[in-house]
Amino acid sequence: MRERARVDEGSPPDDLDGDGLTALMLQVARGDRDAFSAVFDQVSGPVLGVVRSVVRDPAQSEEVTQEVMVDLWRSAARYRPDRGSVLNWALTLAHRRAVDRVRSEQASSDRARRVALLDHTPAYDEVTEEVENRLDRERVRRCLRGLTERQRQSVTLAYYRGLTYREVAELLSLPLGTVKTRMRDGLIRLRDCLGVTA
Amino acid sequence: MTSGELHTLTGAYVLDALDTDEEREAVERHLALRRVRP
Repeated sequence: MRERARVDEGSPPDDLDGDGLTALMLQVARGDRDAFSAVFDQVSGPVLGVVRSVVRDPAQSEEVTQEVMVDLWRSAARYRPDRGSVLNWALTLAHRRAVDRVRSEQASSDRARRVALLDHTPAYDEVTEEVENRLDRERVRRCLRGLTERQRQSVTLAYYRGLTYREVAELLSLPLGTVKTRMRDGLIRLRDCLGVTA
Repeated sequence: MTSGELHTLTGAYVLDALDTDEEREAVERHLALRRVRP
C-alpha cells in the first residue's frame, strides 16, 4: 500500500523498496544464490506477517511462507520493476498463497463453520496490529475507520479470511453485485486515504 | 463479461477474492489491455 516500506524498525528504509532489493532481485533472476539469501532475509518476515494474518495457524503459516519464498526464487525472472517494488510483489504472492491454503482447508468444512467466521473475524484494530511493521498502523487504522461499516466488512472478510466475493455475499445475505461494488469502492477509498499514487 | 463488469471486479481481484480462475484470467486480460491502451 505504501511506496516506501521497512522490514522492521531497525532496517534502513532504503533497503527494501529502493534500488538495493530491486538489484538483488535481478541477480536472483540470473540464479545468484547469495543474492537470494539477502532477499530472503529482508522479505521473509513481512511475508510471514501477511500469511499469518490470513492463515492464523503458525505451523501452516511457516509452510506457506516457505512456498512463497520458493515461488520467489523460481519466478524471479518474471519480476518487473516497473510494476512495483519487490516487497509488494512478494506480499502479493504471499496473500494469494495464503488464500489458496485457507480455501483448500475450507473445502471440506461445512456452511456452519463458515458462518462462524463472522464471529471470529477480528476487529480491524487487532488486524492492523498483526499485518506487519512496515505499515503505518495509525494511517491504516484511520483509513479503515473511514470506510463504511459494510465496505469494511466486505474488504476484511475477503482479505483476512480468504473468502471469495460470492462467499461474502452468501455470508452477509447480499446480492453479488452489491459485494463487488463494496469491495471496489472500499479499496478506492482506502487508496485515496493512504495517498497511494501508483 | 463486459468491460464494465470486469471493472467492477477489480476490487475483488485485488483482494484475491474472485470466485473462479476464469474470472481472474478475464480481469488480468482486461488490465493488460488497459496498460497497452490507457
